[in-house]
Amino acid sequence: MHPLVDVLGAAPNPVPGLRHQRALLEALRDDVQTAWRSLAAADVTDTWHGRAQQGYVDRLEYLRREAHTLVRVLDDALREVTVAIDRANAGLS
Amino acid sequence: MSDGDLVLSGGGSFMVETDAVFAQMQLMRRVQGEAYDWQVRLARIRELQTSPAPQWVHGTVGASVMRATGSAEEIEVGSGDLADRLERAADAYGLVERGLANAGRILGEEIGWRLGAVLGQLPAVQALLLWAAVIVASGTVVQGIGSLVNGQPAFTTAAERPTPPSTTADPTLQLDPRLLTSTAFVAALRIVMSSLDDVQAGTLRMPLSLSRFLGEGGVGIRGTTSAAKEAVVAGRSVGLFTNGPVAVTRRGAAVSVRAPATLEEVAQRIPKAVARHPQVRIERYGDPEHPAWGVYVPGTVEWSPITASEPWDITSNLDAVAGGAPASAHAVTQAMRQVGINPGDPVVFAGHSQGGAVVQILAADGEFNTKAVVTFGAPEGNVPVPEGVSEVAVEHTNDLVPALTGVGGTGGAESVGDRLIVRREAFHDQAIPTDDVLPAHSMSAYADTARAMDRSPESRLTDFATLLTATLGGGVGSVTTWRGERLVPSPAGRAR
Repeated sequence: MHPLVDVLGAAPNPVPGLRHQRALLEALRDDVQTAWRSLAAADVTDTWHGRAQQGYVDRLEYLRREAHTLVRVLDDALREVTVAIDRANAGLS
Repeated sequence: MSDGDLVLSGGGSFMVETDAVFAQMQLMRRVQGEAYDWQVRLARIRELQTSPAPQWVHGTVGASVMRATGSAEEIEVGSGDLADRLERAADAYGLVERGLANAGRILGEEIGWRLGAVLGQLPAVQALLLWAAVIVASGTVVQGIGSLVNGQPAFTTAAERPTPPSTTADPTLQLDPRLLTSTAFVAALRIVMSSLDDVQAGTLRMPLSLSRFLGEGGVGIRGTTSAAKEAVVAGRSVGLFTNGPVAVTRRGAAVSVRAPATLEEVAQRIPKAVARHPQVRIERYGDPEHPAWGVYVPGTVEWSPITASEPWDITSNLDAVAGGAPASAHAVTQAMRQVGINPGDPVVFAGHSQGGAVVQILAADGEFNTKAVVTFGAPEGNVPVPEGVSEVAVEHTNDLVPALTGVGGTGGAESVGDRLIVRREAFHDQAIPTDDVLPAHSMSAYADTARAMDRSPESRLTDFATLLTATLGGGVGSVTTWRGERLVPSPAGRAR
């Protein structure tokens, strides 16, 4: 049984669950952004110049972009969950 | 790899890698772990979805969470793959270094044994002449290596040396510090020192296979340690390298001092090796009930084989390499007892050259509660690292003093157990000073390397620096200095 389903069979109130979801998303977004900053700070261009090292730099750049994409996706999710909360509140009122 | 990079090895690991590579590997492993954690958290967020999966279309939370999960998985796989590749690269680098060291050792064993076999068949005078020829030939080879490495003549007269400017045209042939400070020379010296026991084995007609089995590449019964023991025994039979008890006295009153905050500050506090100066610096921090101590020990002061009152001499060097009890170590122990260090008080040791060997011996001895040991340019001994003690040995690849104990068991790294070795080429980006015989062995050069270690993001170095500063605390303490003297028998037969 879904935790939000009212044990009495009444229509569940989705707002507490959505708020919990938003809190989890916010914390996750912050952690991913911290990791992205670590990857962005990992500058090895002054240390390595060989071809293999350039390959590493390229892969590192790919990870940075992927982490940045993840931050944006989580931002989208946060916006969407906020909209969902607003809608739920409007429907309840 | 840049010549100025720090190279780390030890901890029983086969890996030898620059600190930059290792720091990247640590970052990738951390990101890999975090990306896995993100997926777990995203799964929890997904469970909170009120709408079923088929309704997760673009623009809904469910769809974004699904995309985020895919992205996190991509990051986990990508960072894990990069960490694996860095690990393999570092491993390969270590294997190459170890392979070269072992190849050099094996070749040195062969040449040394054959030389010994020839010497063993010759009358004494001819053997001595052959030794002399070998030394001259070796000098020529080394000169060639020095020319290749430095791009300059390896031997110059005093008049030819560019700095400092010579005021007299002294034609005396002098050994150029640039030769002694070349990495190739130091590597060759390691092999030569490792081969001395094989020369002896050849002279005694011991089979080469047996010599190898007993040597550093085998069970390790014979090698630089046994050669040092034999040198001590032989020297003492003719009145050299004699030892005796020591006494220590405090020099001056205790003065206030702030605890070191960096490895560079620790390095700078090691006393200079100067005749008749105090050899031991002891700092006390913490409250009266819970003191913590920093003990700093310098290198060799007296280089004469004839034992005198100075305990920081060549006799103590040989005793340390031979696994004995050097007088300098006795002096430090006495100073620590007299200043009031209790067996349970945490202690941080720092030593340069012979001082490094001494503090390793004291840490292994276990009389004091050693927390951390850092050595600079110390001979690579086989002193074990005790449980619960963090040890870092800093060596310049062009400093010949750590090379005096030879190649070691399997290339230098594995034989040191849990001791972390930090290697760097001194003066890699600047002219080698010519006003110092062994500039790469100087404490000022090692202080530069300590500064590079402070800047390194490598976790083993940052953890060690944190341990040092945390043990001593960040407050103000007091410092005392101590001088040890060997009680040399007077002509009347009484100690003075």
